[in-house]
Amino acid sequence: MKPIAIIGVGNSLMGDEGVGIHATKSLRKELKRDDCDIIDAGVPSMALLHMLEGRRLVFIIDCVDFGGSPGEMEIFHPEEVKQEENSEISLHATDLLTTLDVGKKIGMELPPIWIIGIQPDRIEQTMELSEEVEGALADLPELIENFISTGTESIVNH
Amino acid sequence: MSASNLNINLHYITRVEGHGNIVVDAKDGKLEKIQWQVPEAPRFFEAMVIGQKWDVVHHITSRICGICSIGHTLASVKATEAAMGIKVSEQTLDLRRLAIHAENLQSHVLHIGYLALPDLLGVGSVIPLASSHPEEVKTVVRLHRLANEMSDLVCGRTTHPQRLIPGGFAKLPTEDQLENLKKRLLTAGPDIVTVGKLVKALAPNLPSFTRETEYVGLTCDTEYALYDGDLASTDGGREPTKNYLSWTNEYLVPHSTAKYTKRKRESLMVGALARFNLNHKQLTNNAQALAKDLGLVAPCYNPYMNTVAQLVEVAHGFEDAIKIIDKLVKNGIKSELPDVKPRAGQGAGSVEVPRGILIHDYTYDSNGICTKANCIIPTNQNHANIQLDMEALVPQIMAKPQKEVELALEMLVRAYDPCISCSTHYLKVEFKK
Repeated sequence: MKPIAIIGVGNSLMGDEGVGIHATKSLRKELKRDDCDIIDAGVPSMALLHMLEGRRLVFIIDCVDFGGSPGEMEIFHPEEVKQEENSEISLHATDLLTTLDVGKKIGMELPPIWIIGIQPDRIEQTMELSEEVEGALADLPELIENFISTGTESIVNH
Repeated sequence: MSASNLNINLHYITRVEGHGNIVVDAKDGKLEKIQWQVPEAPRFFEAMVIGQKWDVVHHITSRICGICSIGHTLASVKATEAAMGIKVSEQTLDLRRLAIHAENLQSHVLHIGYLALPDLLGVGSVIPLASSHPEEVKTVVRLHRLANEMSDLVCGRTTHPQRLIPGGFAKLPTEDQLENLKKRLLTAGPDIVTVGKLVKALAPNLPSFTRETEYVGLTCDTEYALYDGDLASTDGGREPTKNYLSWTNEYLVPHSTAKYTKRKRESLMVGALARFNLNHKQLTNNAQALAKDLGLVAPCYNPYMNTVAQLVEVAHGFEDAIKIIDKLVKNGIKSELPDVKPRAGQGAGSVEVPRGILIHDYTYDSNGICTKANCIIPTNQNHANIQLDMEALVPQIMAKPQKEVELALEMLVRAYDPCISCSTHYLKVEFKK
């Protein structure tokens, strides 16, 4: 297990919803680091917790609606966003914030986690990303490289 | 709402894999309608594989299910092997047994820990349990992770295996990797005890409802049948998989997009409880002891005990997996790549997946192109039984408040651990500042 995990989540059958999965494919080609596990996690639900312990740093790349423009990127800690309590959800609807919250509550030793959220344009049955979201992926390797090597504050943009 | 009037319309009940509805109408104490509905859109996998080559069919049918993808792959490769007369080595059989254990463990731990325990503790999901029972949830996460690691090693992935192919394995685990897995599996004992104690403490919360039905599963003279065996029933009868059509007898009902099955009675049950009722004497000693401790005695006619039977199978699976690893390491892992020459033929393959018997049946032409396919999924075999259980249960409990009736029916459906389909979702956030 490598000290840094870059985890892509989402469903690549649903257009921009699968941007995390597309990101792992491009990062495997473009990111020149040997201290990173790049993981295509699909829709992992609680299994996301299996990928975190023992790491120094974790990035999770996901399709996130934060009210931005399509393809816009936000990098944030899970604690930075409002979370609605919803105990009636099923495993299929367990979002990653809820899963991370469960990990925290059961006392798992979680590393620093950064969510790289990419604003979608379209979520529909297609395996293609929208042009704007596809374009956002081009910046990702350099962004993560800088993030790891220079620290975080300089590139967090909110 | 009073007991004599029920108007239950539970759409998309939670904590099941996919979408199912429960509808109950009663007026002035008279039941007018009880229905278990499956509204999922048909998925047409049997049509998708037609025209596909023999060496990709199992990758396609694996996608029928994200929980039982190992089982679908194994049923698929077994059907292809039966159609083409392909023999596999003892090493392949042992590794496939490990693979089926891995899947059973993944799925059972997930169902017991994340989907069923919340009912027994009176909460809506595993989320509040993280606060009220952190150690137990942590134990479940640990067991689930171990099962996923086992799958990853044997199958090349935690879901949708790549290494299981017709004729054998595309890549083999090393003896060192298997030894390391064994060391990890040996740590699972205390965790199973922890979950067992919790289930035992909560078992009195399970409804005491019973309805005898026909229990169908694979059976085998030499082991607790999961990877292989003949079709068998508690009503008698034992036949090879190739005769499956006279055991499944699929039919359609107007209110469901899923097919139903039946054999000697109006319904049958498959899954952990059916396997336990048929084959409990072949469980490992520790698993039998756990069953006794949890009050699970064959024949058990209480469908709610299916979850308890799953936990017993978890104990069996970890112990049996260690025995299989010992055998594989003792014999040494031999390098062997399958050499398949496709030929025309028809064949059926079956395995026991977490929710019951899974059967795939393919016909190939002389170029190894699939010309016909049939897949019989366990949950479809259970739909009629769920319906008849509801019809028997509701008159017994309709004097209770509607919310209690709803919960009892939801718990009944969840006890079958139905696997109906998969969906999608994305994250929507609002920043605090």
